[in-house]
Amino acid sequence: MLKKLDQSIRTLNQQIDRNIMRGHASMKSRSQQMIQLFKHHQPVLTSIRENDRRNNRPSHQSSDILLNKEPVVHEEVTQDDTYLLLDGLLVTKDRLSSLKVKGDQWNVAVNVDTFPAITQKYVFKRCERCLNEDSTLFLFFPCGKCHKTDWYCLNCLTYGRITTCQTLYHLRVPARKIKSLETGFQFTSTLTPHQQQASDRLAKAIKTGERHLLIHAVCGAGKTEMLFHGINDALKSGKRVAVATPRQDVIKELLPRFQAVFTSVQIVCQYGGSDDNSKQAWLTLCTTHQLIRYKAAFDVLIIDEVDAFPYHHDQSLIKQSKRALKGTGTFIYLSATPRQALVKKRYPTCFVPVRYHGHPLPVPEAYFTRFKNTPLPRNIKEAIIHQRENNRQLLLFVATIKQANTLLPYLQTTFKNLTIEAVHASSDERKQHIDQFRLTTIDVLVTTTILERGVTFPSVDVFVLQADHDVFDEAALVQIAGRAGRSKNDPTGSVHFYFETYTKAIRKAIKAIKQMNALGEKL
Amino acid sequence: MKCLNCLTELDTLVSWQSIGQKNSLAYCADCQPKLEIITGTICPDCGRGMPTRERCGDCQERVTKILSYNRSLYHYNDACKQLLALCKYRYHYHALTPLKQEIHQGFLQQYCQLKKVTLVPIPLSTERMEERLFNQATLIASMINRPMLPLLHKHHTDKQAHKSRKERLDTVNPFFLKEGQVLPKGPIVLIDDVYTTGTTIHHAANVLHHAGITEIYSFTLAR
Repeated sequence: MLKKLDQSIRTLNQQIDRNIMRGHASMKSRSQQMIQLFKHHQPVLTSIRENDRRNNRPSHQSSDILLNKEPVVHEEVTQDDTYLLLDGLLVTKDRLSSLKVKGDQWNVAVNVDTFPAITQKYVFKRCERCLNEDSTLFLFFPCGKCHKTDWYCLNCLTYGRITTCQTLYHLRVPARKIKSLETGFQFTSTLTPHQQQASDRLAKAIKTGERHLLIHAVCGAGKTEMLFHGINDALKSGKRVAVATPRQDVIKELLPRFQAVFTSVQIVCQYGGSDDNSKQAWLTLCTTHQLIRYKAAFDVLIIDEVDAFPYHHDQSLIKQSKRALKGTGTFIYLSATPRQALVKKRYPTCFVPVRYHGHPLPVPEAYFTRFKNTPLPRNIKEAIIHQRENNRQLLLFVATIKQANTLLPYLQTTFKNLTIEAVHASSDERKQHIDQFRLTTIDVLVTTTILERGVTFPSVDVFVLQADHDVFDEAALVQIAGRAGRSKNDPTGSVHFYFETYTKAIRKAIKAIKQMNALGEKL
Repeated sequence: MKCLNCLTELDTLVSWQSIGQKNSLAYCADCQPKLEIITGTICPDCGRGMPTRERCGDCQERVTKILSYNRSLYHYNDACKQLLALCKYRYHYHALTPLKQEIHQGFLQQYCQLKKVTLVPIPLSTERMEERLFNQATLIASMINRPMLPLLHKHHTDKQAHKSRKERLDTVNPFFLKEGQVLPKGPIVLIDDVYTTGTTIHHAANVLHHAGITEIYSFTLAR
């Protein structure tokens, strides 16, 4: 039926063209004739739509084919990698037109699904890009183009505005041949038995296409090393892999490690403000926010530090990551301190209670301290003096940016022979200071919770000031304690919590670390 | 209720009064733009804050005097730049909404003596309109409780913000009036977001002057 319609449109077009050449018909009559033709074929169109509805397919696909006039021909075509990598991208109109310029095989290789950007059911709106359903985050404005009241989504305004009158395009490039990828895998260091076990489990999950796997490993167990074999296998079997984490600092640290192992794979690293944001690759490292660009794009999605802010309490981020994965794909969660909500789901879990060097986790010591009169109480001052006797560096965690800024001048005046700096989310020299600390040119680093997880310094002691503050929950404290004693040469380190009230979080964190150590000893 | 910029939940007082009220939009304490209202002595022509009550350098260079005078509400400092960028380039229509009351009051302070005034927003070209979907001058004009009339239209040009000072002063007049347009009888106040060199406003004033309007003022958000 479709072919018939298509043919008749073509013959009609030719006829009209001939008429125009002779000067008989104007453009107006052409459109009228076209309308007549469509009226004539109306029953055919409706029957096609009904068929689609029965097959649970959205009807716009068929109408797309009709409007394009030339239905997509499924032939064996040589596909570029560039087209293959466009699979699963979710783009707006501007981006689509900029992508389309790339080549002339576009219409053959790429299928485009269209759908409205903001959908509404009764009074409930939903942004189809960021999957936000909070009605307070939609604002209306009079649209100057369509002269109606339009809504726009506040939640994803930073990625470019999405309004009701826009459409989103989902690119799909069906792969005809599965192509294995040259990875240039260079990973020589041997894994410990526990790491090996977890690594095998992960490889098996990817191979058999399990939906979920939680890897629960203590801080400093060498989670990243466990991933490499599994990712290598996946890439070799032509699967597309993404490693996502909520923190920018973690991604920046992971990139050189991945580049060293996968030498011949192009790795794309995406985070807010990076240059790679418009690129695609077989191996993607990104923050969880960047998954907003994808829909059904990846075969394997590894989420590192699932329990970190903001991923664990932002519903739209969780939905976005679910959308970015293909229906047959594998979710892998990595965490040292999984939240109750995740544990309760009872996904298959792989547990690694021992650090890679086999030494136990340093158990935190908690001290009562009054912070009322001074930002730097006496017992902390003495502890710092005592700590300076060994040659470890010191990480001082504080709760707020304001506290970091008030504490820094106090420290600099009391310890004049030490170099002391502060980092927080809004400081400009954040990256620079962290690099300096890594090179041991800075002795003491005052930090907010941005360095709480994912970063590795070889030998540090950790003090937490005001450990009873709200930002230090159980997970945060366990992670902070995990910063100490991470290297093989210096597996111990002291962790001090200074508190005014002994909170549930402190008690639970210490208990959890002791439990882990006990489990590790048993094995 | 959430902050318009960082989307954190705002502490609002829940009372019997607040039940029937419409949700008003606001910024949180951290995101509240630190705008400075222009007070004290100003340039009598362009409304810039000046140490003495004299015409500023730009206004002294200008020979023709079609526009009666311009008045602005805020100093064009970094906070104001950021706010306008949020509105104009990130297309946040409601970025200026929390300032509604202040803008209305500021207008009345300057122009309360004018009777039967009509507001004319500086227009956008259709290309820019398709991109932005709203006109920020119309948005500001709609916050002021006076009749508004979109008289002017504009040909497409490059963005003023990307041009150097000299280029701006040399640009051709992009504004035009539709033929057969009925003009209002009273004075006209042109509305725009920012007055930098004044070229835009003076171009618009020129067009209106040639059409036969004698009293033309202008009001901008920033100077």
